[in-house]
Amino acid sequence: MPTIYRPMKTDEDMLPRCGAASKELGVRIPPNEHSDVDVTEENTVVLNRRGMSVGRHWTSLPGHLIPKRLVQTFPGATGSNSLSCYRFGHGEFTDGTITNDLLLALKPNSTTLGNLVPVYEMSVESLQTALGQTRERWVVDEDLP
Amino acid sequence: MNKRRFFENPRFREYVALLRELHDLIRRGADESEEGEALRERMDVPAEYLDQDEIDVANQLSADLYTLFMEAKESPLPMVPRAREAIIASFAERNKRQFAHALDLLRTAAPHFEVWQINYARGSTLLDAGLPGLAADFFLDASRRRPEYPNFRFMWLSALAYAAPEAARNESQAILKNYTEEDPKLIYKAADILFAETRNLPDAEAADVIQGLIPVFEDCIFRFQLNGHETEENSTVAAAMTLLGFCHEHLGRDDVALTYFDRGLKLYPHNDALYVARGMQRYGEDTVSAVGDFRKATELDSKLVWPYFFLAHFYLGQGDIEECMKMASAALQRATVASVKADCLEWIAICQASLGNPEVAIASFDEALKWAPQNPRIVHNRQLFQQQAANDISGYDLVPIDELQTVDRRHFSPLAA
Repeated sequence: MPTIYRPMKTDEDMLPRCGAASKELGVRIPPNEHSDVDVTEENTVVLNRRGMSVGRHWTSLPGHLIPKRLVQTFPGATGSNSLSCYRFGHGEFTDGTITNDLLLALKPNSTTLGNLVPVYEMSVESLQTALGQTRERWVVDEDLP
Repeated sequence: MNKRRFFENPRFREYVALLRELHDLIRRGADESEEGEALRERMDVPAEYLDQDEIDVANQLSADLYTLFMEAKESPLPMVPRAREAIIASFAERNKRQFAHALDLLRTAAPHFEVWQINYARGSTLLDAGLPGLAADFFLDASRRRPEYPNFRFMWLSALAYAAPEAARNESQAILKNYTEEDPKLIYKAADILFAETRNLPDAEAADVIQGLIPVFEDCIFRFQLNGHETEENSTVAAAMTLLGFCHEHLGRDDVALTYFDRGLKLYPHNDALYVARGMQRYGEDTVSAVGDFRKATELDSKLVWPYFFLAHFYLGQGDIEECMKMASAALQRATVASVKADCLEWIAICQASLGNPEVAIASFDEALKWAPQNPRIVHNRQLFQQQAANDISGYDLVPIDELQTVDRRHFSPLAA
């Protein structure tokens, strides 16, 4: 299973907050103009490798996603301090299964950036549930590689 | 097709422009807000299209932006040859339009230089990269750290004029309130900006502003000459004389204008802008002399569009197709105003028609109409060509000289920053 990183908002129990807003454990869906997935008329998620974005390491990500309190270790960080950098899994960052329902799909021509996408056709709600079910397996890891 | 990357990539430029806004919020302590969240969410969109190298360059630029307006914590390390070499290499990379690498080399050298030195170089690099807003921020930072170097404020105002014209106009108005106390080079730039801005004003209001700029340019030229900078800043003094002449011309005082152009050319006989200004005023009335002025400007390798533009018009009227093609092509390369591009393309089309190249001619007419779709003369000439395949220049409607004389001098920027 690949190791993936994602900065997310933190709940009181220090685990990532689930939801369909930006920087939550979940995907933004239409009509949100920044939707992370495409949705069919039947409310199923289109299998086109779009999904919840993740990185090989948090240092691979654009600085506006990295909390700016980390600026001493990552000088370009401009993200909100309400975020924490979370890690999930152990293994090489390549296309592969994350859970029975979720797959890591690398972005085209990238070895460092990817999306968590559904393995099979499923409803938007099922995808949000599948992502939410990973919540307790994310740990805060803000160390440099 | 190769993907355009870094500063050539519109998504990268969009991300960097938003990054500048985010840093502004951070500096004001206002980023942990709904506004900050909304801005970061907007940044997600271009970020989605960046590759890892572009993300890394954007993150490094973000680190550079943290140096703005922050007190330097440490003195520079002792100078070493490697640091100087990195700066020189950075300038070379900038000239090759390898801006990401140029900025990276500045970071290598940064510990050995003062922050204002590096930030001025960053501003120059970003200005060349076509990001004048970011460039203005770095120039302003350099000028705040070293107010005794007036060129930094000059560069800041020049960059701001591209990035945020309204802000530049407001700053210029503020600067000119006490123009006798400010540096003449900055005064020149502020007056230049306000002169160009009169394009957007009703005639009477524009005339008032232009009248008010006359003593400003006069004082600017006087002080350059008085403080001995007239040789060091010769292009700025010549530009001030050009614009002073244009101010008088705009107010109907052609003779006064001509005396400024003549006076400027006596002082600066190698200044292309003054030749162009004088040529524009003479064209139609003393066309032989005007053509001589324009030729002189082209011999000086003028970056301005106008000498090539007027010469193209002149040669077309003379039936000198080869020279007209050459000059119209040179003008087209330098043109930024849509109507000027359209005119150049129309003249090229007429030349191609007379050379018996109908396909190129029609393509050039069509390209001209893209820039000026409503221009009845171009529409008429295109129709004429289609109906008659006219290859005799005399059959076409040419731009009359008096129409060419109405070229708005306020599009004329004699001194690029």
